[in-house]
Formats: sequence, C-alpha cells, structure tokens
Amino acid sequence: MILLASASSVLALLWAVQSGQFDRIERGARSIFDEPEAEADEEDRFPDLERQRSSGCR
Amino acid sequence: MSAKPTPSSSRETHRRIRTPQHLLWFFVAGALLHGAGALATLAARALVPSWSRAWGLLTLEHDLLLLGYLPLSVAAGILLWLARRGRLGDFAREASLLVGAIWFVLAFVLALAHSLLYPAELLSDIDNVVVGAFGSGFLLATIFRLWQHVPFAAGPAAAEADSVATRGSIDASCRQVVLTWYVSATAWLIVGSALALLASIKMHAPYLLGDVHWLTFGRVRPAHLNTMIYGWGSMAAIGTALWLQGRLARVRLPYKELLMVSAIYWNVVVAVGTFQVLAGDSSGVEWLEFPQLPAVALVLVFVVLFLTSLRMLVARRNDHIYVSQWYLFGSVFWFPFLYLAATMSIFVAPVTGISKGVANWWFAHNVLGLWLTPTGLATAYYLIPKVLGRPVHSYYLSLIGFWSLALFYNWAGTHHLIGGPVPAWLVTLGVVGSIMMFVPVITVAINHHLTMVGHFSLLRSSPTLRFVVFGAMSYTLVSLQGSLMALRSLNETTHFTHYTIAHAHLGVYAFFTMTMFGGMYYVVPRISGREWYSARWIRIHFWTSAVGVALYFVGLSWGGFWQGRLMGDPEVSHLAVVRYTLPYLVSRSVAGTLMSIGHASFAFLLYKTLRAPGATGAGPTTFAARPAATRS
Repeated sequence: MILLASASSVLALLWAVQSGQFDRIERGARSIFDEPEAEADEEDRFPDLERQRSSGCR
Repeated sequence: MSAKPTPSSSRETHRRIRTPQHLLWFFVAGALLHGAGALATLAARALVPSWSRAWGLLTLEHDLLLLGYLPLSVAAGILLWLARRGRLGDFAREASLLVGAIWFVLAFVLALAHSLLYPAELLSDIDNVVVGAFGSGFLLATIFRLWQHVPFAAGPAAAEADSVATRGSIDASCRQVVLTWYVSATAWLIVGSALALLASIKMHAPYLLGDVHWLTFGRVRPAHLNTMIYGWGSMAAIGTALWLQGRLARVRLPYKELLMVSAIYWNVVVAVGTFQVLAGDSSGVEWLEFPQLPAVALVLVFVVLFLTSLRMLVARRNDHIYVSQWYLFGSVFWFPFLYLAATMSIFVAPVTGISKGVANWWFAHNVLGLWLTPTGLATAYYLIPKVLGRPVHSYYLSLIGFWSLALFYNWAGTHHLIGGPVPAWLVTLGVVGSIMMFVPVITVAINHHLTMVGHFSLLRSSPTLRFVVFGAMSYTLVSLQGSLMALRSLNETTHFTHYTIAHAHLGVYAFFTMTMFGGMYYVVPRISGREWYSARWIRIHFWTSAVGVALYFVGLSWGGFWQGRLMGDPEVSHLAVVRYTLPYLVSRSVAGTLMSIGHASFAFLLYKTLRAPGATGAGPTTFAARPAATRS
C-alpha cells in the first residue's frame, strides 16, 4: 500500500516535470496575483480598522 | 493539459466542467455494483454457510434488505437510459422519488422488525437504517439534482460559463456550498469541545458522571477525537479546499448541488458514527472508531470531492499549478485511498494482530500528514502571500517541500509502534521517514518566515494573518518536535505519556485548527458579502485560543516528560506517577476551557455575521474602499 501511494507520487512528479510545471518557476509564484487583487495590496483587515481606513479614504 | 487563455479552449473546458455524464455514470455504476454485491452475497450465503454466519448474514431480514438493493439498481439503470434518450421530464423525477420512498420504508420496516425480534441489536440496526436510507437518498438525490439543474447538452448554463470567471463570481459560486461545510464544521467544533472538556475533567475528577455509561471516559474521548477530525477538521478543510481550488484554477465551483448533498450526508454519517461510539459500539481502533457502516459511507463523499477537484484541475485557466493546488489535489487523492485501505483492512477483510496495529497507525499518522497537513499548508501558502501582497520568499523551496512530503510522508506512521512487537526494520523505516520530514518542514519554515519578514506589523491589522501565521509557526514547531519524538531514545521517555497528547494538540490545534480559523476569517466575508460582525469578538477568539493552546502544550509537555521519566524509574510506584501528573491535568482543563470559550466566540460571531439583517452584498465589505473591483 505504501509502495502504491509512493508510486502515484512519483508518476505525478514525472508528469509535472514533463509538462513544464517547473519552467519559469518564479512566475508561478506570482500566479495568485492579478487585478483586482494585485501584488502589494494588503487584503485583509479587522472590521473596525477597515471602517477607519475606508472612511479615511473617502 | 492545454493552455487556457483562448476563448475557444475555455469554452471547451467549461463544457467539460458542466457535463455530469461521468458522475452520473459513476453513481449508476455504484447502484448496479450494489445490486451485484447483493446477489453475490445471497449466492455466498447459499454456497458457503460458514462464511455467511461469520458475517451475520443468515437472517431473513438480511436477505430482504439485500434484495431491496436490486430494484434500486434496476431503477438507476432505467433512469440512466432515460437520461441518455433525453427524456428527462416529470416521469423520471416521480420515479426516483418513488424508488427512494420504497427503499426508505423497506429499510425502516425491516430494521424495526429486526429490532423487535432481537432487541439486543437495536443500536446497530439504527445504524443500518440511517446510513442505508441516507446513502440511498444521497444516491437518488444526486441523480435527481443533476438532471434537474444541469443541462446535459450545452444550454444557457454553458453560455453563461463562457463569460470570464472573475474573482467575485468565483467567490459567489462557492457561497452556499462552502458556508454549509463551514457552519457544519463549527457546530461539530462546539460538540467536540464539550466532549473534550468532559474527557479532560474526568482525568482529574474520575467520578464525574461516572455512572452514566454513555459518558464514560472510554466513550467520550474517542467521540471527541472523531467529531474533531471528521466533523470539525475535515469539514472545515473541505470547505476551504473547495473555495481555494476555485480561486487557484479560476473556475466557478462545479457540482454545487452534489456538494451540498454531500455536506448533509457527511453530517448525518458523523452524527451516526458519534452516536454509535457513545452508545458503546466503537470499533476500538484509534482514529477509526466509527463502526463499519458510517466508515464505509464517508468514502462515498470523497469520491465526489475527488471528482470535483479533478474537474477544477483539468479546467484550470492558468497553465501553472500553484503549490497550494498541488497540496489540495494531493490531499483529496490521498485521503480516500488511505481511508478505504484502512477501513478495508480493519473491517471488510480484517487483518489481525500485529498487522492490524501497523494498518491502524499507518492510517492514523497519515490522516495528519496527508490530509490535515496539506490542506493547512495549502491555505497558508495562499493566504500569507495574498494578505501581504507579496509572493512567497522562495517558490523553489515550496515545491521541494511539496514533493518531499508527497514522496516520503506516508512512510512515517510506524514510528507509533516503537518498542512494540513489530519487525524492527518496519519501525526503523518509520523513524527514517519521520526524520526525512525535516526537509519539507524546513522549506516551509524558511518560506513562511522570510515571506513575513518586515511585515510583522500586519499581524495587528489582519485577523486572517494572525491566525494563519500562528498556525504556520506551530507547524514548524510541531513537525520538528514530531521528527525528534520518532527517535527511539526520546520515544522511550515520551511514549504512553501526556507528552504525546500535547504534541498531537500542537499539530491538530495550534497548526491546523488555527490555520483553518484564519482561512475562514478570510473566506466568509468574501463569499457571503458580509463583514465580520465584531472585531472585538475576533480578538477574544484569537487570544483565548492562542493562550489556551499554549497553556495546554506547556503544561502537558512538561508534566508528560517527567511522567515518562518517573515511569522509567523502577523505584517509583505507578500511583505516585499518576498523582504527580494531577496538576498538569488540571491545567489542561483550564486550557480546554479557554479554547472552548474561543470556539463559542467564533460560533457566535459566525452566527451574527451570517444572520445579520439586510441583503447580502455582492462583494465583501473588507473591500469597502474599492467595491466596484470585486463585482463580477
């Protein structure tokens, strides 16, 4: 059973290498950012702080 | 796996997501298999009576129950045929309801009759009825909902899917499903906390409720473990995993009806399993205490989860698979595999003696390593960079971490049997596997720390970050500690002491649970369109949970370590060792009370947030300064 589980991981790793998952790897790290949640945006605040900030913005 | 951006290929992928044929096939095949299994059992009963006797299959009711599967299978076949012919009108709906009703009544009447004939088996029969009836209901509801809501041909739904899935629309698509999983998880958290407190207090006040046999320690403690792992932990992880995969793949959540039914079904199964454990019908195998039927029933939901994840992975809009998605897909692939293998080797084709211990601990340790850990890390790997607005420090390291976990974690479980009557090489394999876990742990530790460096001030303003970073730091601590505890020299002292319990809670609570709280603080406003009800209650929740688990860990680690040293000293009587641990056991109850206060605050907060008056907004109010951006 242990061997089967490991074999599936090895196969997945081989697929990942072959299909280019490891090419241009640093770009992958940025794949979670895009409009409207771009890099350098802080995404989360306590509700009271958020109220202060949004009232400050307006 | 082709590149996604061109409009024509994205249309293709969406059609693939929306087409439920494979899933329908799966369930119909399941029903047919059920029928075939029933026939095979009947044949075996006639041909090999001794085998059937061992399985308790020699009653008339059982024959009828099994025969009851056959009409269900035939009905499923007819429904499939109608689906293929495009004749999916009222008739099919009526037919499925009729079959469901007949099946339910049949199961209920037979179980009632059986209970009257054999009163001693009343409890195990309730088990059969509830799980059987809900299992069939699940199956029928699946078929029913699929054809009712999802067109088989490309229709309006497919056209709608062609529009670009924005973040707002992805979040909105998760609303009902993810909130259902989350609210259920929170309810189980409260149940699990109550059971935990009771078990903890019984350790230093053993006569408390000592004459209520449903609430004796031997039942309350496994009931606590199972409600927390399968009720709270798994349901929170599944909710987060569904939302996160949608975000990462940039597709809306597929199979929503099915996932809703799955959530209800999962709740029923955990409730039945917990009831059985409290009723004294536990399997006695740690982490797998649910009796056979609820145990097997859980696997069904994982098939749905796996297919959902696979659809989202295949249909993803960016070619690159982010590290979190690797973790999540890994966990939904590994866990059913583990669970089914363990369930089969414990219940269906039982192994005995040493092999049972090995199967047990291989499974139990992998629940942590290949189910809770990947879902927790996936959440941290997404949310820490996301909240900070900067990518992880080293993406190379994160991938090395994932692949070393994938390749080596599942070798580690046998370290639980150090000193036990198992072959030495098997234990050594577990020790080596455990020490190899230094690799993924150090990569995660470096990454999370260096991503945070220079931004620790944000812990003051972001509830998500506060919980997730607490979780990530605990992950480093618990994993390094765990690897060291697998060494025979240290294990000699810590095995069979409270030190191990402290370690387990550092993992499942300080790491996993805190990370899940952080995830929920991020996800709930975004999918519900409501801001959290109160910042003060979030702070209360954080501090009670954090201080509670810290106290828990310190008290039991210290007490447990010296307990181990004293137990190794032949001059000290066992009673003296027990007396020595008492103050630490009291400190655990205090810590547990604090954590329970935190859980109650969270439940209250979730209730007030979701039940707040007024319409649900389309974008979360955490985006108050830029509402237009979140609209689809």
